Amino acid sequence: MQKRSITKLILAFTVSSLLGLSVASPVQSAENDQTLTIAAQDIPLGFDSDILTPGGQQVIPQLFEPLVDFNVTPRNSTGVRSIDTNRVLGRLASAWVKDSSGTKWTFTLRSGVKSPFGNTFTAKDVKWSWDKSTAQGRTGNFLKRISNVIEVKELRPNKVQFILDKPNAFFIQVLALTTPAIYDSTQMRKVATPTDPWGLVWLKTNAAGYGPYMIDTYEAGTQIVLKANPNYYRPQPYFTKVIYRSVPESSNRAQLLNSGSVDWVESLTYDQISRVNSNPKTIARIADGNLQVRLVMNPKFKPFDDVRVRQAVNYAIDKSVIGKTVFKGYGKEMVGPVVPGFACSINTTKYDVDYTKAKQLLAAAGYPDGISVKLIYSEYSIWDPEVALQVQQELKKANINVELEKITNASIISRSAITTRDMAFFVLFEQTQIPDAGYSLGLTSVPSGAANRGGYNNPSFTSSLGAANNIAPELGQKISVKRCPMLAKLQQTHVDEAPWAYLWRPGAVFAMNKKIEGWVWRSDNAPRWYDLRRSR
Amino acid sequence: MLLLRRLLRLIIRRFFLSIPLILGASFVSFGILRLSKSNPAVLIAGPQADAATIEKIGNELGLSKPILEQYVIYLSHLFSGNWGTSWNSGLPVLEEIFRRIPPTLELLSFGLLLGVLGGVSLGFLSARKQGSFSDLFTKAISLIGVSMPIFWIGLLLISAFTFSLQIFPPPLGRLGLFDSPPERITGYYTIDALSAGQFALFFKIIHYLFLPALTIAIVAGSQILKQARASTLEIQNSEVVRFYRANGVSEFKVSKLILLLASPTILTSIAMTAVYALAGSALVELIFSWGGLGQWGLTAITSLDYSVVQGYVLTLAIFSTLIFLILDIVIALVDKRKLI
Repeated sequence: MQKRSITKLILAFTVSSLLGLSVASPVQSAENDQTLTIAAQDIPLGFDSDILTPGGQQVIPQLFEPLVDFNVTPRNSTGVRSIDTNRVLGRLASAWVKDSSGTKWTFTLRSGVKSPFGNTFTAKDVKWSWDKSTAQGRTGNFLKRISNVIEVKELRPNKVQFILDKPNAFFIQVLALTTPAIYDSTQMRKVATPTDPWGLVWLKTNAAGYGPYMIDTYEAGTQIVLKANPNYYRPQPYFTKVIYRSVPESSNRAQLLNSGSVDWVESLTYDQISRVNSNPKTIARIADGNLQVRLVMNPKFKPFDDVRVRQAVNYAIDKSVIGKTVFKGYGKEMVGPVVPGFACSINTTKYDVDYTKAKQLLAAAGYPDGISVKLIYSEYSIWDPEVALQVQQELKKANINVELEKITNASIISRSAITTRDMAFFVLFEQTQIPDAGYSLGLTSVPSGAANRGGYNNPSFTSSLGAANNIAPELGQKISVKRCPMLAKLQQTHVDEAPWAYLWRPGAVFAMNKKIEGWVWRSDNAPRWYDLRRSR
Repeated sequence: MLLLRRLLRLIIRRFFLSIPLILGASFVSFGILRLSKSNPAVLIAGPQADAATIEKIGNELGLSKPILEQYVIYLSHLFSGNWGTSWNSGLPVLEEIFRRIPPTLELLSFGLLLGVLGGVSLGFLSARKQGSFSDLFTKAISLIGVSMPIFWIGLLLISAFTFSLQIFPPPLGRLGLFDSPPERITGYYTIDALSAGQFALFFKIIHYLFLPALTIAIVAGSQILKQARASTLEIQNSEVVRFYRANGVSEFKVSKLILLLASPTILTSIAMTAVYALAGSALVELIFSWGGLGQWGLTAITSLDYSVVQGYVLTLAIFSTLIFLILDIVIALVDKRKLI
């Protein structure tokens, strides 16, 4: 009898606790007015802008301020504002001039700018930051090299000079990127040690920039909380606090947004995006973006060493089918190797679906009975497996039998890297951060290009591109009259030689609560939380 | 005294046997990572890195050295307490392991506790009422638990109890977005909240813990239930039990006897399930954004963070060995013949 009473007591306690709790904390509402809550895919693994980690690409731009920034366009027909690829405006730099040779750029730095640590921004910070990137030899150094920068000179506390060995068309745009970031060098020197002169260990869990936000708390792998930098030189951000929490599972992220538990979520599938759009309280805002989904064909391997085979592959794919089935109608067809809207980009559409023509080209290349090839794919992007499957179906119609091989995400990145490039035919998207055709082709289509994953190599293309990129920009001019025709020709050559099958541009999709306003699409696909506010 | 000495001998013997097991696990994880075609230097260098940068990073990581040499260096570091640093985060692996063990163990212990209580009691009762409706029902439940993937069960529970019924909080980890964790003493939120006298926070932590723990409990409990039922059935039809019943021993005492005789098999099943749950909890952590050891290990595997993956596998191997060591001790105490 006593035993039964105890059992009943325990049961009653458990049930009442659970019921009590469920009443006390149902699904939480995110609408804590000046706090922005984000369900992220990954949390940064450090705050060094030269070491790009998942999540870091979203958070680091909030902590640092660039010398210049892209101007923002008015809303387009779909209500989206994007960066204006042709115009930059001053941020940490208030003015700049270049000499007649285009190799010396002198910047006047903004006065009165302070970091969260209270240190004043000077030319020393710019020099220290670029020297850091050079010493590390990673992303910042790569950008330094391709923009022809050989030295950064501190002229006066408010004047800094960049010296280039040759003029460069997109140098000023490189300065609008987050890397090399501009650090508070006074603070960084304090945390540096003889064995770690650049304070890289400290940067694993801290940051010292001049951006609108600073780190409040950081728990690696779980959550980071940012708060507004009280010393920021522009007006304080609307969101004074940002909670960036890791929610690795995409269906959970979608449900969190739909239930109002968070304001913003990252990386959803197209089905989830449709559900977000059908909820009256949430919206997936879509920009044309800079993602390009393509099939890469490495001309080093048979049968892709024959241009006719590569062209046949292009003719044998109905892109609209891929757009409909894989991307559920989101996005647009690729029209060439460069994203439309980038400086000097052109529409080079050539390959309308034509299975007969594809078969003729294969026959002319010595394959009258068609070919059998292996298509490698991964899950690097959520759409890759479906793209591979759809391509297999499409190519079958032109007697191209495709065997699919799935490899890991790490493998596809590793095997397509500049040091390996051992895959003949594979699916991989590309994204170029500087919105310039010359930069884009330099990255993806010359032998030294880090994103030239299929090893495309045309010496005359490479030298012409070098010439086009070594032209100084005509400041204030929307279109470069000298450079754009050169780049147009190169884009046409690329399409003619077809090292890729140009498939789809899925667009950049950002899902958020409908009350969040102010979002601007940027080429690094990282929204600036400073731009955002909550409508009443 | 003799018993204690024999127990000690068993522990020492098992300890020495576990060394090659752990070394083997370290070698296999080390070898598999190195034999893959992927180059972690490429991932670390970033998408815009050139060949020189990738090569430089590869050299810094020691990837250009022969694999055997890399393994010897790794082992020597391991024995000196240096488990390496994460190539991604730069944080010491051992430090990270200690930081992430509490969330994982807290989740696992609650999940296993629910699973063991449910599995053993339902398995035992089901066998005792073989062929009844409740037996069939329990069998059906266990079949679902055994055959459904753990991540799918987790997602179903979230969909039903969080977003449809709104009984449990969203899968945001150990606490909500606006909650502050208890001051860290042990790293186990439940213990830390209780020791600080924060009872409201304690209940909130339990609330967040319940669904992920239930996910583990369903899978672990089903395995245990199956085994408990089978062992109980086997014992209750044995000659020993028939002999007891023929001598008029009460059903309560017979049940106790059956449970005692079935316990070594059930305990082994619990230990096996605990080891599986340890590995399987990684997916549960991922789904519930738990931020523990499992989620950390999975992320490291996808990003080829060698030191972390090795540290993670080694930790799993050590935990598995510990679980089986504890099992051996418990079984020896239950069935003293094992000590002879």
